[in-house]
Amino acid sequence: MPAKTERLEPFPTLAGAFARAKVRFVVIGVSGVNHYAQTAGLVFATQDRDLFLPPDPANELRAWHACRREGFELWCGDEPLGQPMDRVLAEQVVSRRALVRADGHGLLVDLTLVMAGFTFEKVWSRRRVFKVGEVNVPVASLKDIVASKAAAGRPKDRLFLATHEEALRELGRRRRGRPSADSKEHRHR
Amino acid sequence: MDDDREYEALVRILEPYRNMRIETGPAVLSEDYLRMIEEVASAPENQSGADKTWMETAQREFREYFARVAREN
Repeated sequence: MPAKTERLEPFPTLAGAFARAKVRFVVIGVSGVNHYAQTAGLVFATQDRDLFLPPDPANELRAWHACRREGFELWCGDEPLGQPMDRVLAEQVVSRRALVRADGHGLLVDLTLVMAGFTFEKVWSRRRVFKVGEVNVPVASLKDIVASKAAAGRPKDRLFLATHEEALRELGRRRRGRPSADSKEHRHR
Repeated sequence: MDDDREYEALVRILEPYRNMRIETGPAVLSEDYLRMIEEVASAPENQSGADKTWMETAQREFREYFARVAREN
């Protein structure tokens, strides 16, 4: 049986609301990679959650309503998401592949319709579903997330990839019981 | 230290970083990195159904820690 979160965390609460509203999404980005961390030392600090949604206006609209019900404010660009929050607006957002950001409870949740190099269905077919508290959270495969960051190739993606690669290498060294590059440095000082 | 001197000191400190050329565009992943990713993804604790509650708790602790540091400085 999965452990219960000590107190209600905002993201699992939102993921639970999405599940009840039948919103299809997968967690991507750094927060997605964090689900594969094998130690707390490999968890990257981030305040954002990136959720990849299919280009489906009805799904998008269900996601917005679920966010609002859970106390998140919705933003598109620098402005609050327009009103009325209806199918027409959802169709416009989807056709422009615009990013909608949910802000609340100290958390920023990006509802993105774009994942560099991938379609939603491809990523969905290879997702893993992890338990967080009592909620099932669909997460893109680690390989897809990393490949997407490599395809996007923005400075922040390149920085993340270099850091992640080094973190995995360090984990491997520790598992083999070899001293890390850092500890060697300390010894020579 | 007044604001101007503080600003000048900051400009001096950041100068080397301003001149850094940051590469952009698609990155090529090394064979070694891809092998490590495969290894992590195939670990028993990373299969569907695994409990990741600890990760959510760790994230919250990070957030709280950094919020505290920001407030204290």
